[in-house]
Amino acid sequence: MKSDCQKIKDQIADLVTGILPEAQVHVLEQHLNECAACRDYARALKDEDMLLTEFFAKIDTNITHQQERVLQAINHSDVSRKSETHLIWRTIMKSPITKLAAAAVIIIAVVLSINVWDKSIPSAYALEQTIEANHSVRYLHIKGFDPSHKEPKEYWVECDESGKLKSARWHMPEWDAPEDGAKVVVWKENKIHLWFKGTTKKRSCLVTFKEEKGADWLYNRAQARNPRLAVERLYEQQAEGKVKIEVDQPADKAKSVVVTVTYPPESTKSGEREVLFVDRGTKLVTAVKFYRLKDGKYEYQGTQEYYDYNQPIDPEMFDLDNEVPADVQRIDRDLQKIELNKGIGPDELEKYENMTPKEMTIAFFQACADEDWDELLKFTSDSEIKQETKDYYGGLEIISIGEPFKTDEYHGWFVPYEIRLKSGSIKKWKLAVSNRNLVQRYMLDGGF
Amino acid sequence: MNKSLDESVVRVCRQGDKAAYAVLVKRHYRHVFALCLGVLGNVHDAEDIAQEAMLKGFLKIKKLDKTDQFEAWILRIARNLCFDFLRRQKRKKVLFAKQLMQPGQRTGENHVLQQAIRRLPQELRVPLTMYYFDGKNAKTIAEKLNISHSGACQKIREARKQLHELLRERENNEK
Repeated sequence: MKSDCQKIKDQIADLVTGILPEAQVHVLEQHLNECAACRDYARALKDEDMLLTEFFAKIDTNITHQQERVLQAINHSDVSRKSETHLIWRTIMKSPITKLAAAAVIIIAVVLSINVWDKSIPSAYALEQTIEANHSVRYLHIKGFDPSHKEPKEYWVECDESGKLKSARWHMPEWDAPEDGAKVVVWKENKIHLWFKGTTKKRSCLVTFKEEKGADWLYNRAQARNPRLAVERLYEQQAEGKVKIEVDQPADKAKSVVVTVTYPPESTKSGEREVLFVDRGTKLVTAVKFYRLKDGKYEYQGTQEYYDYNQPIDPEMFDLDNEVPADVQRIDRDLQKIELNKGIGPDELEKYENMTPKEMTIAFFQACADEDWDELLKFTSDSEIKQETKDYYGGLEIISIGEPFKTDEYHGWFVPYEIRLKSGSIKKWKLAVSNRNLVQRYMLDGGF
Repeated sequence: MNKSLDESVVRVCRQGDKAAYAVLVKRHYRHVFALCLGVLGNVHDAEDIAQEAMLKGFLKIKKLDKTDQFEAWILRIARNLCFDFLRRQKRKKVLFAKQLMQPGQRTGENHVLQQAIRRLPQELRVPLTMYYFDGKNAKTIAEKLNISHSGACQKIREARKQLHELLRERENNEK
């Protein structure tokens, strides 16, 4: 680094921090192109910038929770009484005489109050109070934090009057499934709307479908996050001796009741611990922290925070159609399914669903032999058969269909075939067939 | 615009309206926490003091005459509480280094960075922390700390340079 480079250090620090005036950026970049020492310095500062950004971002994830705690403390505070008490106390403590008098009054008051103490202490917290409080919960916003990621998973749920799940929305960050990218899932009226926000490799799209296996899975996930059901389950398990529950009710009324749930060795959740934080006033769960026993210590696994109890959720939150930009591709799997089963009557469906790879291949080539193009369409995802295909394969003769086989590279089956075309030439190849499709029956995948 | 929103909310809060104060908590808690973190250099203490400052703000809001100056006022409360806290700590002769080495605290890269930040002089640590924690905007940092924009830039620059030296020093010691 040259001696005049010392002056450049200031500019590099400003560049990396984003406060270097635009006019100086170009000149500095030119210098960086020429000076390796300054380039190294800039690179080091950039790395540190990333570290600082990440470091403070990690601290930032807890801010909402902290704000909630402030609000809880404020809700439990009594403005007028507290400030008046404070003033009176300060006045008393200013003089030694009033100090002694106050001490005497306190001693007498303590002696007199011993007899009525039992009646005046607040009642202890019990799990039933939370179950009772949860009965009126219709709306809820949940955030799930993972210790190794900044962005939380978020859930919004709406329940009906009986507490049964009505609609739900999930925000899944990219880290949850990097190959899919970030997603938003809405479950409403037994239909799933899945918005893949896209990655560098995959385009964004909105997929909707009904009555798929995923619906049950999502429904169960949402129910598991419903604090009403979770606490009721704990209550039952406690009654059966399946969990150990300890309740800590701090003397400071601004602090939450802490319910520690430990699963004994014989439990299916052996080694797990959940710590519930219950709001003193509402008796509702504000957060659950999860731990797992490892090498004799409980290791933190994550937190679930509950917000906005009973704050009605905007119905738009459960309607992705309006929210997803117009240029995003929309895929309705139900319509696709209907499209794939085109031309197959309800009575015939079972026949096609039960076909083996070999039977499907025979039926496929037979349709070509008969030039029955409607029948051929039942085995492809195409909407029509091209004329050149008809000309090439129409009227063929099946010589032989071999035994299907699999390879490591392909999930479906290869079915060897030998056919004689109308032109007289013989084609010997293998058809690729697969049932990994929406209708889950064997269809053409290639080799034709 | 922000100040005028604060002004109307503060007026309602002065009637003892807790829900209105929630608006101020949502708007300003982050800045208060960032300041406390900068002054104290310790997340747990910063949480405690920031929360105490917000609560104190609510209890004392009737004393705030300039209703459009809530932010400056609450930051002043937070700063004073931080200094009280540091004075108490000093009396207890608790060293900064000991505070940092709390059991269960993460080690590794974060720990090294946190230690280096703690070793920065307070007048640089506060703007640096607020800058990274609070949206990377030197102009708003300048407003919050009541210093000029160029003054804020200078402090952030100096903090970055000193932090780099501290990290390099640590790296060399480990070799």
